[in-house]
Amino acid sequence: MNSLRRLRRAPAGLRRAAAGFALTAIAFASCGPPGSDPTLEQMITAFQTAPEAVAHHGVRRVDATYVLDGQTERVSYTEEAWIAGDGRFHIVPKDVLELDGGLGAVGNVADFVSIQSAREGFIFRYRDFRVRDVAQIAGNYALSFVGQSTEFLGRAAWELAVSRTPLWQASTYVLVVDIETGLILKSTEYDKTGEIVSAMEYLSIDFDFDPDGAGIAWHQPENDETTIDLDLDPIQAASLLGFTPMLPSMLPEGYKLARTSVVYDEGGEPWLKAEYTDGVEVAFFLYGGPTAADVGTASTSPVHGLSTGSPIGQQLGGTGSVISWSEDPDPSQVLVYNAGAIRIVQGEVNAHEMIAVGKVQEFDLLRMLDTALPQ
Amino acid sequence: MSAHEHSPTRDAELRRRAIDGCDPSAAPDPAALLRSAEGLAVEGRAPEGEVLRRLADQARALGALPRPTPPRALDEAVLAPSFLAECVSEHASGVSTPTGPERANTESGDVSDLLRSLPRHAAPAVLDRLVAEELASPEAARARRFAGDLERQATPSSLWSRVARRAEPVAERSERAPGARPFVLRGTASWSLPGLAAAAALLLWLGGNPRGGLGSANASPEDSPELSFSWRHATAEELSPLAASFGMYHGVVPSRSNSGAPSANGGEGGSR
Repeated sequence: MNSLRRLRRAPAGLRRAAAGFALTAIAFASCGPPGSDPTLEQMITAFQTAPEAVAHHGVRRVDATYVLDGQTERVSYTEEAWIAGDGRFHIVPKDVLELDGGLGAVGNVADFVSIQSAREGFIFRYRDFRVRDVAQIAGNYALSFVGQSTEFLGRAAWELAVSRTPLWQASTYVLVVDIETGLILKSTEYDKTGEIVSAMEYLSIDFDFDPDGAGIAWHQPENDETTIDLDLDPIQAASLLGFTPMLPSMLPEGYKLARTSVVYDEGGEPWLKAEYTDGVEVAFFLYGGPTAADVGTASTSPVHGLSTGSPIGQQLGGTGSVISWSEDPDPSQVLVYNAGAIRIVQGEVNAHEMIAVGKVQEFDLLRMLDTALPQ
Repeated sequence: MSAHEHSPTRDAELRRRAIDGCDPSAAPDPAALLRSAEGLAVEGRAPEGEVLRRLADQARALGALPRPTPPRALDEAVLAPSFLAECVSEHASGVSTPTGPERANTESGDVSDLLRSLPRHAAPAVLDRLVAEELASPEAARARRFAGDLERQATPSSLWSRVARRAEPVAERSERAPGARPFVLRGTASWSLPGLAAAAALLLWLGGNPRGGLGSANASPEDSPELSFSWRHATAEELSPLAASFGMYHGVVPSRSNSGAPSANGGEGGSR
């Protein structure tokens, strides 16, 4: 009954999507939208490859809303994206439309643009809706078509609703998908109360541009991230890390390990990075290995990938001051930070440094740390 | 050692020589043994003769025993088909088989006829199913066989405590002993179906309650299920750069300040 009352209060668009959910099993098991041949599963598979395989150039608008301590903060900007279709990409922020509350953290728009540019790789891989595992989606999400096929930016498109099950706890993505390429032209993320959490929308798109003729400064990784296979070559992993890798034995519901790699923090220290997915969302677990009991300070700590001492690195604190760790953190205590739908957990437990991040419940992340500890 | 002294080795040697002198396919002839014994006594080898005399007595006693014919069904039940085939093949190759059922006329050497005469039994139906399962998935069948032999471990008590805490509403949680089991499972075996349905509905309602129940995002540290460490909510400034970089999907560390009413969205004219 509570679920039905919440549904009646939900936005009209979400109610339509919810009505479509009732047909999810039929839609997924049988055919695509009226008058089309590809099955839903075939479409989902096309979605998975399109972000990197479909060459295109366009301008898109990005909106995000954070709720902190009951206060709503918004960020809205445009960016220009070049996707070569062979793995190369280049994403550059263009105009900042709104930074309600966020400017206080950054200081000025120029620094915000610099931060976004430095996070180009992260944005391309993790920020937007992406199909990461077709089989996982089938098990964890309800998919349905919303209304009839539509048109977007002059292209024939489908409108889909993708919702994490169970439905009354779920966040929902409403997607507009280009029929020809499977590229997502618009996505809107709703939380379980029906409020918009984030949105991405192409304002213009060109599928005919020449990736090699435009003189584009394609993204170059600034870190030394190295993919490793802990099962295939645990010795290589241990030698790269300098310690025995640890992974959580209990994961958020519906998640499974997708990839492991070695990344480096601002001090050049290696961390094991484990990437988990439920088919759409990503959760991270980072393990820094055993360490000494004392934890020092780190000033002018830059965003991952930036050089030390950059002004951006000095502006990451909420008050614009230099970031510093607590000089005397409780060694047995873990910190939890909620950034809207995203939760961050970090701590040094029994002299083991760990971080967990994801769009999951606090307890799920805490349990990841707990079950990764050596027994 | 003199010729008249007894020893286990000498007795065994005498028996062997006595038997070697007889036809191995025939039972020992008591009369022949006695004649040999008398001959040895004449030669002054009375002890050896005595051994042969005892052998003769044994042979006479065994020969006097009645020899019932075993029922055919017993032969069929005892001897495996592979052994029968071995007997048949040995017979076909001319090697005499000391044991084995005498069946059809084998003088013709027709092995195939002999095989055809063997009785046929239908395999039980369950055997067909077991073989089919084995052939369909040998690994799964092997896993079932081995898993069934594994020692079954008891669920750790800490796991029950975690489940119990997650199933309870926040306001009603109380201290539990580590070994306590979740309330929805206690006495399950005696619950009726409506009772189980009510428990399931309760769990589902708790899952939809944004204020508590299963995995609430706003759970306070003291409500945490069992963890081996304590935790607290932190500010953005306390995050490490590495943690912040993975958590800030949109690149901006949200400020805790409030700028009041949301600024008007001037579209793309809002740049500075």
